[in-house]
Amino acid sequence: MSDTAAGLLTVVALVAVLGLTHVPLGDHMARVYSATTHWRVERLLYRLCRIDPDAEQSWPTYAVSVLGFSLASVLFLLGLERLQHVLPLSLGFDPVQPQLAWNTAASFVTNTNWQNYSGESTLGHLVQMSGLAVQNFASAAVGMAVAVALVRGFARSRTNRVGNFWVDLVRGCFRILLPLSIVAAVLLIAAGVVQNLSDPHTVTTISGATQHLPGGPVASQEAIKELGTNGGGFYNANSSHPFENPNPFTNLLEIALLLLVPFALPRTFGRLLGDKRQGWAILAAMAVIFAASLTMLTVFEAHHSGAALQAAGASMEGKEVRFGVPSSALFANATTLTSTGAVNSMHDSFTPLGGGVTILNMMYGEIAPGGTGSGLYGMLVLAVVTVFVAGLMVGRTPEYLGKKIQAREVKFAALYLLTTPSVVLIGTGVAMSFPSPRASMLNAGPHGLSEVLYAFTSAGNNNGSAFAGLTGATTFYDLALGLAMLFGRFLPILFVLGLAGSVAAQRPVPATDGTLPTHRPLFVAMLVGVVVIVVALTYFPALALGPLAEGVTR
Amino acid sequence: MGDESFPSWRCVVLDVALVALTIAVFAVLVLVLRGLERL
Repeated sequence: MSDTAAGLLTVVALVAVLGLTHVPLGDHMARVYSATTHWRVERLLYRLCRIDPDAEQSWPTYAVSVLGFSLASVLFLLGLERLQHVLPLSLGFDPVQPQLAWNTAASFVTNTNWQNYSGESTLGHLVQMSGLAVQNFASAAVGMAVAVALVRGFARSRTNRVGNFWVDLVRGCFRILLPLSIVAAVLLIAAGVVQNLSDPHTVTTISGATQHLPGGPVASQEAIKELGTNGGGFYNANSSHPFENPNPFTNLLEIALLLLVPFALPRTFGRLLGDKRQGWAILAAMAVIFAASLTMLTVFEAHHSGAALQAAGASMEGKEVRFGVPSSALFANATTLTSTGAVNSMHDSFTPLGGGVTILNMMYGEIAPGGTGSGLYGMLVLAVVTVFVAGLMVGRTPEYLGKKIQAREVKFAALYLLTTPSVVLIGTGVAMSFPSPRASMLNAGPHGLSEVLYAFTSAGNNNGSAFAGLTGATTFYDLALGLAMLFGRFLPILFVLGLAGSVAAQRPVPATDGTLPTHRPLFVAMLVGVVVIVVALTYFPALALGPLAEGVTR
Repeated sequence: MGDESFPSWRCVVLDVALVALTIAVFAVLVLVLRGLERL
């Protein structure tokens, strides 16, 4: 079978899987977050932590809970990495260097999973399982909790309560992510992904050399790595490693897993709101952007320029032969349009414009479909901006989902939209201004700029994928990218929760003839247009100096 | 990736500094939150 046919089949199978799971999973999540009863194990946990699960929180209390939990998570993970040499299952590894441990802790708590370390030669099984994998669950559940709080804000009126963070967190882990992860891990093991707790196997190769084959609890971590749009690989080579992603079936499964929850959340949104059409509209906007980006990325990788690439028949540098160009492009598109950051090919080796699309995907703010939860709340903020722009056009006070979009709501939305570009562009500017961070670039010229821009875009948007050329394990990048991840994650969350509290406090506005329908194709088109225009206005100069300049000079 | 190149006293200083940095970042976030409440 040709690469093209295999790629098309993969896309068809992927659409089928996502189509079949969208309604049941979306409805299940809506039931989870609106249930009034607690499981026995949940009640036990609440009692141990002295939490009243039936007491709802105002948005500032909800935000303080998010921040408190995340601070404790960073410090716990940092301690685990620094003390791994005295903990069991360390495989004899030393403690992780302080600044690298901090970068990794910030990375996994923010759902970024940027990796300045090589998993198989740095971390023992205990840190991988009790530290990183736990944060894979927790950080994804935090994103979903914040998204649900925003949806509650729109669904409720004349209240200052947006839910209980601890209940949302626990339910997200126990009732959604954990069951799905168990099924996914079993499927991955059945398909050949490694799962053991043994020390590395030492073998002698045909040429007589000695080789160490590291195993570990890979499948169980792989499942939540994709499902929670985390992306941190057990191995340094991530999903291009044959123990982590051995064949086209696991490749398809991993892509499906990373898109599963983000594409189902619009259904949850529609159900919680009591108007499923609103969910379809958000889903349509996500799907349009995803399809457009996938088309661009595949075309750029398939119709490459350059005599060597044309002679070879494909732009295969940095790609796995077992996946080929289309499946590599599909994975790259899915991982950069969600906040996953897993890779099955090296984006640094993509054609200049293909690599540019992966950067652009992250610059959209990862909203198509985005991270678990963060994709939905990002798209809803953009929907607020869209109705605001539409309101300016016709001179009416904008409304969205029965709530007036007034100065306070627009301030929250504007702050949200300004945060990530500020983190990305200031970080890139600082890095390019000093010789030491510039020395980490593998390439000079526009491609070198793309490497640094990619790193800060990935960190600021909590993606976590790397362009592969940049040497990130330096004190500057450990600290700068760690700060970019923390501010890029939690500042937007504060603005989203502020918006949730603001709309929850309003009384509902009845729809009139002058109300812009937000479930029709016209609104979907406007929403996509706003996404593209906002990103183009914000990032075009940086893109022009990096991937675009490289693309037109090749 | 171990600590061979790091004297132990430097690691302790770095550990304390990084914990302080983490707390400082979250303190800034709490200050932003308090500001947003008055928005």
